[in-house]
Amino acid sequence: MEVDKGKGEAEETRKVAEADRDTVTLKSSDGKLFEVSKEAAARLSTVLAGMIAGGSIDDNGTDLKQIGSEALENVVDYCNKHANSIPSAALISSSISFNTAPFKEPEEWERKFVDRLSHDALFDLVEAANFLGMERLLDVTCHKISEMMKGKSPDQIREVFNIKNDYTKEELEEIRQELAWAFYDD
Amino acid sequence: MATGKGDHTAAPPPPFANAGVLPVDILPEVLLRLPADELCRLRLVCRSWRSLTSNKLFAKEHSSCHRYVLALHSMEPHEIHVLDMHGNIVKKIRLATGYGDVDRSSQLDLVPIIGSSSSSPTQVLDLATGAAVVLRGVSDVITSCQKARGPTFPRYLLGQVSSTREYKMLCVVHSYAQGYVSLVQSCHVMTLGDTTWRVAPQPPITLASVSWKMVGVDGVAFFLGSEHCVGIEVDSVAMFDFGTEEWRPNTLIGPLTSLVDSTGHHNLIYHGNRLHLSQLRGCLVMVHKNDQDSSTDLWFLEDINKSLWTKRYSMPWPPYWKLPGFIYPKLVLQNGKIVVWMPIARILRAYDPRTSTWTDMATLKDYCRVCVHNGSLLCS
Repeated sequence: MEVDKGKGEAEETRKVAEADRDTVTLKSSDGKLFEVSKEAAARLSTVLAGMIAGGSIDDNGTDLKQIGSEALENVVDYCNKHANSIPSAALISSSISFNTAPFKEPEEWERKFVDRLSHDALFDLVEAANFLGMERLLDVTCHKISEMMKGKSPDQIREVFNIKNDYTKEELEEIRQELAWAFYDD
Repeated sequence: MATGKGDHTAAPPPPFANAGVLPVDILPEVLLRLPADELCRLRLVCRSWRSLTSNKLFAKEHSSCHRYVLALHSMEPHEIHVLDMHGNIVKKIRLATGYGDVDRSSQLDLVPIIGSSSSSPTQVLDLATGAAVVLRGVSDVITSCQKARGPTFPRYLLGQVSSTREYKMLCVVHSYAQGYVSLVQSCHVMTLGDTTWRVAPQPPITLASVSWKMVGVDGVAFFLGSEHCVGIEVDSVAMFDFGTEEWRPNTLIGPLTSLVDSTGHHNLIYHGNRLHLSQLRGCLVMVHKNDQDSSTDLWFLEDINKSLWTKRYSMPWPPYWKLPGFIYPKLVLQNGKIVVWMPIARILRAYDPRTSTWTDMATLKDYCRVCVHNGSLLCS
C-alpha cells in the first residue's frame, strides 16, 4: 500500500490512476494518509459510501478531521481485513446464537482485532466507527466494551472507565435496597 | 499504512480525546447489550448511568432486545422466577400466597396467578413492581355457583380495555348440575381495583374449559368452542369484548372449517383436541398440532370481521422427536425465531423459519408453567 516515491514520474501517475479505481485515500486529523479498499469502505461505512457516491473523495487524501491517526489506522485495518475475510456460516445463519437481540456476535478474527487494543484505542475506535456510520464495527467494539463491564463491581467499573462516584453513601444504600432483587447473589 | 506525505502539516489535537472515558453517545449502545439484572447493579456506578438505565425509552428498547420468561417453580410454590432465554434466573418474585396456575396467555404487564383453593387464592402479579395482589371476592363467586348447582370449574382471563387502559378480569364458571348431566356456564367481570364482580351475559356457544384454549388480545377475550358440543365446529372462536362487557353475537369461523369448505377432506372432530390459542406479535394465533403432516401450524387471524386466517408458519417436527406433544409458541424474537415451550420435555426451543431448524435454548426441568415476561425489569 505504501506509495513508492523512488519510481519515475510516469509510473507513479499510472500507479495513482490504478489506485484511484479500487482504493480511496483518507487523511487523519494529524495529517497522516491511509489507503483503503474502496469496495470495503463503501460496504462498511455509510458515511464513506455517501462520499464516494457523491464524488467528494479527494485524491490527495479525504480529510477526516475528527479521527486521529491511530483510530483511522485501525478503521482502515479493519476494512481491509474485512475485505479479505469470508463470512463464516455462524454469521450467516446465526443459528448457534440464542441472542434475542439484533446484535450480531463478532467473528473470531473480529474478537482478536479488538482484544489487542488498549482502552484509549478502543474508545477512539468506537467513536470513529460511530462517526463513519460503520454499523458492523460499532457492533464489534460495543460488544467488546459490554464484555469488559460484565461481572464487575461498581468500584471496578469506575476504575476501568475513569468515572467519578457522585453518590453519597446514603444514596448508594438506598439504590441497593430499592433493587434488592438484583443483588441477591452478591 | 501511513504514507508520510502529510507528516509536515501542523497536527491539530484530535477532536476525539477520550482520555479513557467512554464517549457519552456510545454508552447507551453498550449498556443495551447487558442483561437487566447487570444493568440494575450498574446503577450504583454514577448518577448519569442510573438516569440512563431508568429512562422509559431505554427500558423499552432494552426489553425488545432482551426477552425473559416467567416460570413457576415446581418445588417452590411461593416463588415465581424470571428467566432469560438460557434458563438463568434473573429475578425471583415472592408471591403473596402459594400458586395454583398461571395465565400463560397474558401479554400484559400484569399476570394473573390462578389459585386452586381458598388457601392459595387467585392473585395478580404486577411485573412493574414485582408485587402480587390477591384478588378479592373470587371465592364468593365460586361458592355461590357451587351452592346453586354442583361441581364448579372457574377459568380466568385478564384483559385491558384499549380506550380506558382499565384492567378487567373475566371469570367463566362451568358448573355441572344433576350429576354431570347438564353443563351451566356463567360469566362474571371485575375491574381491577374494585372488589365486586358483575354478572356478564352468557356466551353464544359452549366454551372450552381449559386454559390453553383461551387468550386475550387487544381488549378482546377469545375462546375456542368446546369440542364436546354438538352443532358447533371445534375451531369456532367466541369473542368477549372487555370494553362493552358483551359477547359478540357471531363466532369466528376457524381456519380448518375454511379448509373443509375447499377440500372436504378434514375430519374436524379429530382435530378438536389438537387446537389451542396463543398470541404472537399482537395477533390471535390458532395453533394446530397437525399429526397428518407432522408439523405444528400457526394460523394468524388477519381480519376479525371476515374470519380471515393465514398459515404463516408450519413448523415441521424433526424425525428424532419421538413424542413432540403440544408445542406452545410463546414469542417471536427480533431475529424472527419463534420460541416455544414444550411442557412434556420441559424444554424451551427456538424454531428458525428461514432454515426450518430447531435449537434447544434451555431445559427448565424444575419449572411447570412458563409464560412470556412483558414488563421491563429496569422499571422495577
